Amino acid sequence: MSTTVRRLILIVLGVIAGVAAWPLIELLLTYQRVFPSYFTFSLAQGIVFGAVLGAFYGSGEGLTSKEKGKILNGALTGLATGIAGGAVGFLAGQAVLFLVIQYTFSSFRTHQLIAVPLARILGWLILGIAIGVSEGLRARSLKKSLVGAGGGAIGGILGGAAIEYLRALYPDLIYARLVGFVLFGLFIGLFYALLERRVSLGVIRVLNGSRRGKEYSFAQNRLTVGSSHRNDIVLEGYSHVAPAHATFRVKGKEVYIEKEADKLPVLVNEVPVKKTKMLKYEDVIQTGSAKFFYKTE
Amino acid sequence: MKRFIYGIMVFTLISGFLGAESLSIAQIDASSLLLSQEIDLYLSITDDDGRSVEELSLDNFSIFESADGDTYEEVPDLRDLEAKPNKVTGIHILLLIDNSGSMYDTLSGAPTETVPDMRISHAKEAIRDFIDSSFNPRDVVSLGSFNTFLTFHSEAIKDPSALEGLLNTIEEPEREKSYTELYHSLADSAEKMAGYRGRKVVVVLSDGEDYPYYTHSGEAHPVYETGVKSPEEVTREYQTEGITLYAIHFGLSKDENLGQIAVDTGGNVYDARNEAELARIYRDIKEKIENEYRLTYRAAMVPSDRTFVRVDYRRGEEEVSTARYYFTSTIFGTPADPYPVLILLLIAAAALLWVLLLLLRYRKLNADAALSVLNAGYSTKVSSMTIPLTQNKTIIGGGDRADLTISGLPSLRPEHATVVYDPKARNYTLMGDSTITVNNRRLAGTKRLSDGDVLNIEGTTIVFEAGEKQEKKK
Repeated sequence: MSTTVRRLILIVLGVIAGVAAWPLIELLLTYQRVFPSYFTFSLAQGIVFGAVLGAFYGSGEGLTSKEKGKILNGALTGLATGIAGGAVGFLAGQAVLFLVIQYTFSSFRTHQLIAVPLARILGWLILGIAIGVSEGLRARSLKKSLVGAGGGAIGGILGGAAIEYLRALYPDLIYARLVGFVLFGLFIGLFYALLERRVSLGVIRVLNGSRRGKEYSFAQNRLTVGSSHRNDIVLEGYSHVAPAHATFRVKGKEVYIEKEADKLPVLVNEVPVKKTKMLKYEDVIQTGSAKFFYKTE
Repeated sequence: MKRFIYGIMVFTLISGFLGAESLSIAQIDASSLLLSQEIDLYLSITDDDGRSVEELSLDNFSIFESADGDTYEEVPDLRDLEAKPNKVTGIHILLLIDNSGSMYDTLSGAPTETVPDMRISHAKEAIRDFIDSSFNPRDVVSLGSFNTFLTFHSEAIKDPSALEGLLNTIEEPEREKSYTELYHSLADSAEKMAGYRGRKVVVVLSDGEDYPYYTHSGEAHPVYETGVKSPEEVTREYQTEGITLYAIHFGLSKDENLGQIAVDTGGNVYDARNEAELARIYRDIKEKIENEYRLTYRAAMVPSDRTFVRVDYRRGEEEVSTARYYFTSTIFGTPADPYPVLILLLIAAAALLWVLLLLLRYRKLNADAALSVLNAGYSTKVSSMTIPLTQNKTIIGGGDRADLTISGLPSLRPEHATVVYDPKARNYTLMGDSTITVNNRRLAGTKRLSDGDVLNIEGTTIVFEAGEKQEKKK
């Protein structure tokens, strides 16, 4: 699958996550009185929202690579990081909301039309950053976290704005929050994809075998290759591949291939790599029977 | 104490001065709401003589909260009642003095050239007396004067004695500046004070009524232009910023709305006829603020963008009630009412969509060996993105007879490269010149192709796919 399709799937996953989160959040809001405090209420909303988005986004990697192990693992770690990100993001956002409305309104009408929406959008922004970052944390990549933060920030602002101004324009529209949630998920996925493309130093495309056509972006600084499920690129069904065979590593603005297995070779353009080699455009890398093509986006 | 004062608005001032005692909510501090669920109410309670009521306990109060201001529910958890909290935390007072032309007349309103007889001199003296006697080290004071324009002579001075010299900077205005922009000045003062934290009070002294430049000169004001401030707007500014206004009428004429504005903001209104009365009033105001109570209670969870809080106060047969609201907006907002149960189906729909994504097959492996174009070269076109290698000889070139035509490049020969199939050995061999690369290496005559080899022909990148059949045979 090309990176474009993979990114489209991430966007679709964001939309699905927004759809799934809405009934749950609406349920929480209905039972606000049951909560003992705004702290626990905010925490619960952040946890539920973050968990749903995190689980869906987390499953994306496995979903696009068709690896069942990665789907479950990704969904669970996405759920965990989403919970953490959602809880922190929502509490911070709520605190900002409470603070901002203190200084900005001058009348209840102005407060409702300007201050609260703006403050909430700020809250959404923080929530978006937290959820975006949690996807990077799940992948243990600072670069991916930063991309996620950027995508989450933009997605948060736009999704939050959609919710707020739809509600302001159509106060009786109960679907306003749904539309906002969907846009929130969509924009996080979309801007994540756009930023990923912008910061990526290129992609590695699998040329043969069961993973043929699948592309991996260098939006993170390290991509491990091997037959083990712990790798970023899992070469299941390929011959002569070690559990940890090689690592693609970004150093500065260059991409290198590093040999990790002692006995099994790594070839670049059919020439064995001793330890590490800088890749250039259209190099063909071979680990066991698997071949990769390095190209810029 | 780090205090964030939430904007508050009166929705109904006092449901009644039912008895002679009065109660007002001077401020609502909701800064601890998220972390501790606590609200601090600053209450000013005076008896029928206007004196602060002392020695009250929590038993004197009941707190109610409401989402709509109509249906209230009692809040059971009243936690603390602290007397004189402002004595510990300090107060920020803005002393605002009328510096219009009439302040340079005598107390009886007669024109005079004798400075000590002027109202402004009496006002300055009363302020000096107030500063000397009433400030504690935690207080902060600002000084402002107004006529046609509002002037701040100092901001947030921690040593009030420094005001002594600043009072002398208030000078008689020229004729054009001697209008009384009372409402605009009050509103601008509130805006100025809004930037500060803590208990904030404006004490305005005026000897007349709002006398706007635009209304009475017929010309646009240099700052406010044709804008005229209403008493309601002034009141709202103070209420939203959590500032209390105390008003002192110092002279024979009074602004008819100033007293109500003061009362509506939780303050009071006084009449002073001479310097001694004025000094006593300043001290009285200070004492009232210092004698406020801070009532701390645990807030209820009201699903609303604003929560109304009502305080019922009882002492003996006296019963007074007052209410205000504070903002409780949450990021997701208020719930849909009633809960649309059918939306739960969306969870199943989302799960179904997710499963569909899982079932999607993105690319099917070609059954036969094939050449698949990854990227067409710059300004070139290819006749097909994938061609199956079903014949013994497949030609790639710039001519129409080629099996895979790459057009747009004059340098490309009609038969630039050939892929030959050997049925016996069941393998494919690429034949061409050194302008072709295979796996980023120049082609040296011929090259047997293996699955996933990458050919580059004049910028067009092509992948050789051995095909499903070939792969299975392996």
